[in-house]
Amino acid sequence: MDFRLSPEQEFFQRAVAEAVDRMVTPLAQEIDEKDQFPWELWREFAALGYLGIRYPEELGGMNADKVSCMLFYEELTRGSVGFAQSVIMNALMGTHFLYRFGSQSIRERCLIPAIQGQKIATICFTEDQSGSDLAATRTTATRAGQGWVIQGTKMWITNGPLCDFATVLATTQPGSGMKGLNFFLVEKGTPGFSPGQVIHKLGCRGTVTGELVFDKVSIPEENLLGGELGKGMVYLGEILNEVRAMTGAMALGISRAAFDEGLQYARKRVAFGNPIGAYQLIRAKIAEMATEIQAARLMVHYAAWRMDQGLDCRNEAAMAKMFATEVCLKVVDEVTRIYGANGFAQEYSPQRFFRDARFLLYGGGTHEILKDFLGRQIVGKA
Amino acid sequence: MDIFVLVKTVPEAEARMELLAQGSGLRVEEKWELNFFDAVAVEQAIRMKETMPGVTVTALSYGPRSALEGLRKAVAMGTDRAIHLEGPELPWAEPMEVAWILSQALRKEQHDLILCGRKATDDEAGQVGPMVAGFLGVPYLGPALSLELEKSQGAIQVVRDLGGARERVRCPLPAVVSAQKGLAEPRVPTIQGVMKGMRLQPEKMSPEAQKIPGSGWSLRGFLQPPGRPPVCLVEGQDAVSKARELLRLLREEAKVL
Repeated sequence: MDFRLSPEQEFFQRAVAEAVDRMVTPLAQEIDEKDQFPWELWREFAALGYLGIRYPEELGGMNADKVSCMLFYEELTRGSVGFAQSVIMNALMGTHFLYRFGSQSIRERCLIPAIQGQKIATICFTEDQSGSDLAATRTTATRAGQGWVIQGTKMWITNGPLCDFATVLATTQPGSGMKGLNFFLVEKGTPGFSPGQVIHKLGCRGTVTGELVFDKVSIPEENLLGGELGKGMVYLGEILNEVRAMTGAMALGISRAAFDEGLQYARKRVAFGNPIGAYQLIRAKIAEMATEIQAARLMVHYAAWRMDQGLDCRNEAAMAKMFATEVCLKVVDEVTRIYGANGFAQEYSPQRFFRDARFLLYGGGTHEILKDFLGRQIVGKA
Repeated sequence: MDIFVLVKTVPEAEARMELLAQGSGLRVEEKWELNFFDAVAVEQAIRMKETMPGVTVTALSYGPRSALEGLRKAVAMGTDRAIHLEGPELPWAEPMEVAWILSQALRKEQHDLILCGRKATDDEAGQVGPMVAGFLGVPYLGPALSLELEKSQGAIQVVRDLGGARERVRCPLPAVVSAQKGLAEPRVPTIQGVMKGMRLQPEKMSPEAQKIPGSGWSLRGFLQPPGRPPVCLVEGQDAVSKARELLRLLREEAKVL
């Protein structure tokens, strides 16, 4: 059993950390305050090539193993959650089905420009009446000649209002639940495809999130992303574990950012003649946070390692997402307490971490859904 | 044109360091990075390569296995070659020994310009570059704030940082130039560069350790520097009350007024 990262992975993590420390972290507070997409940073960061981290080198990527991907997600999120969420959408969920099923033309038109950061990608699941319950998806794809017509409205779409293309979950058999679900590519400029209302969020600001409206949007046959109709949920299953572990890695990123700030503050803030880090109750907080972050990291890396080994990791990925996020919620709370009243001030970063951490509760499965899933897996179907 | 950059791997600024008993040694957390001033030198070399045809840049390092980390970074930034002179697994080496071994390796390679950082951020010695120049019998210029190549003349012009003043110097090649902060801002490597760094298989050379000139240098031990007093945040409702409190602290506690 070897828990060490390889020298190559360690070097990769340092390289990402340096890029984040120099380019992203200094802008994090500004990104949060303005709540605007940081276009200049996006262009500069995309030029480094990290948006293609999980795709083959011939497409401009790195073909990174999953553990390295987790290191990337963690480091980037440590810099700025708002920026990280947009990047990760382009690097993972927003482009996966184009890589997996897209024609050569789609790859050239959408995938490669997205890897280069020239196009912004997204994926659309959620609707006003369906989030966790994907079987209730009401957006439809209806056969029309040699193509399809998409009809419906999607909500809570990361990058949605800015996107150049979207992978859309729609049902081809309304009323048939999961069996009718499939993924379709819809590109900006297609008549009937338009952004709706922007959602103003508590945290993860800087990522533009909102509605996407599909009003009788006609798309060609090649935009059906998947070889076989009705297999959308099977295809989603291929990426779900990675998305869950990734969310856990993002939780690690916020936890580390908050922990580092809290630690520095505990060392320099003086009360009753000593740095507050000299007092047992503050040390206990530091010790507990460090321990739980370490445990969360082991779980995230273990899930990713199983993915790299081709082993089943459904439980491990769900556990990692849930545990790392709960640890993150605790860490950001404790750090605001270490900061005292300053933790309540907009001028300091703990309040940002406190707000951002909430964002992780929903993506990759709510914890209520994950606990239900894990319970069924462990207990067995009654 | 062949440019060599002498690179050293140093502990990260945030790596934990711990004195062993009675200062007999130093335990350093294994977090390594390319010495900052060497990264500046690498950047300068790569910029010359990017703006002039026919330039080859080689990173050269002497040291234990951790030296690979600095070489990986140099390659990620864009050097064409990386050579590792494998040294013993010791945390410290005498600057003259390092300079001698590097200079012996350089004698075996075609070199027109040798760049290095003005000092390493771990030992702050700043001796290796000048001594390499001495062993090779070539000019040494540094710390350099700018560097211009007069290729047709086979010479360089360097602006040296003299603290409060600057000095423009010209000398023929080959020469050794040490890089000062400001010479060139080290780039953030692209993912393609990072992959090259990850896959690095450096050229290995055995250090020529015979006949190392003795300097009488010996490491006698490490001492703990005095700790810094804790930072005191001045409290107050507004700038005026904070200024009053600051004055009180300076007068009554620091006793400097």
